Amino acid sequence: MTNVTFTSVSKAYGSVTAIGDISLSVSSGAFTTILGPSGSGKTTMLSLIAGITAPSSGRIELGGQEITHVPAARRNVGLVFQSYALFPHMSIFDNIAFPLRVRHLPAPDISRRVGEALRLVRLTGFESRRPHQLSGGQQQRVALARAIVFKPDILLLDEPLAALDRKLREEVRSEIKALQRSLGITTIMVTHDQEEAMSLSDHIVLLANGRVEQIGTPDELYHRPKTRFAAGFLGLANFLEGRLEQPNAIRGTSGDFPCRTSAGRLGRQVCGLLRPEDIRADADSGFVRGTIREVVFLGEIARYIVDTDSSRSFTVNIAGARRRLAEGSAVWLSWDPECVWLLPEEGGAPTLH
Amino acid sequence: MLGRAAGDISPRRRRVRWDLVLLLAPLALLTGIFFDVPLLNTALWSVSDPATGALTGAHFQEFAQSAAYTRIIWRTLVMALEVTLLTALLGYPLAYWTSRLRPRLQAVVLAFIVMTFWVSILVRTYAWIVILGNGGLVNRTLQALGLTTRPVEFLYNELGILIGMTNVLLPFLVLPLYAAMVRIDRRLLQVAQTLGAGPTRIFWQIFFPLTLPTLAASAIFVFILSLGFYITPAVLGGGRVPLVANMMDLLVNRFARWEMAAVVSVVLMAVTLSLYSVYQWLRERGA
Repeated sequence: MTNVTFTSVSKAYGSVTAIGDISLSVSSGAFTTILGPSGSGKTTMLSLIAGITAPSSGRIELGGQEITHVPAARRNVGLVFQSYALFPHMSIFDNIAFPLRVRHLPAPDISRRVGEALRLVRLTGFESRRPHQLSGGQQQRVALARAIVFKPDILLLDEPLAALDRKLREEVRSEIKALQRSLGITTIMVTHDQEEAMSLSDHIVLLANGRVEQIGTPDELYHRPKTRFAAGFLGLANFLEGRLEQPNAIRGTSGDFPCRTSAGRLGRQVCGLLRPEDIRADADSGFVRGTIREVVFLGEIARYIVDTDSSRSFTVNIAGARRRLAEGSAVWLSWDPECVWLLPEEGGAPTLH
Repeated sequence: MLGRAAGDISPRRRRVRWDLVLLLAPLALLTGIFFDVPLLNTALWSVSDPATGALTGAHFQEFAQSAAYTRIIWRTLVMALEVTLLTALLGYPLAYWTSRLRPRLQAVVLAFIVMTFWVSILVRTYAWIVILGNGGLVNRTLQALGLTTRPVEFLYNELGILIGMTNVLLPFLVLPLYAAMVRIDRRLLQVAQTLGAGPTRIFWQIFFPLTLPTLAASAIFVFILSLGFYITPAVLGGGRVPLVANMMDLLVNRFARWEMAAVVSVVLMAVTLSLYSVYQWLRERGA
């Protein structure tokens, strides 16, 4: 079993810093996602683990052994590129057999293991085809089979679902998850898609501008983010800003926002996070009064943009969208005070991400 | 209803685009009158008696029986093969090296390669005399270094022709190969690394096979071009190394044997066309 450790790793391309001073540890056997917007350095992280690029400084360990300058060929890491990168001049069999032939396995073993890998990705019978004869989803699975056939210590996935259409994406997503579970292989995926990250991962490493913003389980990142950036990147966020006058209310410029806190931050400026699905909208009573400016019907839910009387707006998601509130109608918003999460002091300030 | 639906799907009758016909007509006429007709005429000459105009196979018989013709054709083919091999051996590494340079340097190297097209082939060929002659740059350097006491004979033999022709034809191989190499997805090579392959294996099992169709196609192209070379063998061979084009010059200008020149032309064209079909096939496979 293998865990990956970064110790103050930096990578610069010329004068541009791709990632700066990152330290983190990815636990063995888990599914970890490196999540971030484009340009956050997530692909660089993957290249560093794969050994395609070398860090400018710092130390990378794999299963307790330093691999900072070990060439890619000797790392035993399976990599799946977004573009699949199948060898176009080789058959599917030869593609998957490639890492085994490199390791000089005897021919019968190669046949057996390629067969097993193909069965695992449900492509038995495709041995003699060429990559261009396969659909995108099938090519994706061949790339996956090739990356796991030599029993790598780590599986790296670079935006594995980005090139697939929506329906196929959900299918492949659950397949990847099932495969990772059954093999118990340490897996690191890179993506910019927060939904993908939340649904697949045991842990998420949120990157922004080449730095780690937060590491945690999907639940932690969603419900207890440390920064405004994290709160906004994983889902929609309503921020309640003001002074914590009593333990149970944030006093904003336009009134009090109920919340519950045990922290000794009374009298301080705070920022509370309230997710859209935690807000209720009623006709007659609540904490804040407003007018529905916009209704977005999303099938499972309806999303309302509500302008309050003090000219700020709330995003409210209401499930069971069969009976919708009309645009222009007045509503009262309320929520369970338990649902307000106060961002830690250093994360509450607006950032420039 | 059904019939109408089917009619909608079937391709519409192609209408004659008179504007296009008009635009293409001058070129078609020009090629027809000045290229196709003479070519057919040549073919006709090769099988007709120069005096009576009657059809005859005598010229082809003469061609087949005369050792001189077959020897010169054979020599030309061998020469073309040597030029092709040398071009490939020099061109492949050059293209590879160029494709690995930084983009700005690539542009500079490519400019140097293309530059050979800017200088007239005649000038370039005579330049080789200056460089390779007995008192030329190469021989003086070799003697100054004490590597040889007597000048090496580069000129007026097959070696001179080989050097000259390779120089002229190198860009025809390097440019398409370079383009093919640049097109190769870098991630294929990176993924091969992560799968455990070393540089030698990656080159021979991934990189080289992916450039092979282009290498083969451009090699055939170079071969075809070198079959009909006239100026370079004439100047650098000093008339001592007879190749097909030079032989035709003799047949027409010295001996006025037009019918034999026609036979040689037809044979050469048959060889070229069959090679060209292989070239096309390879190009389609590579694309």
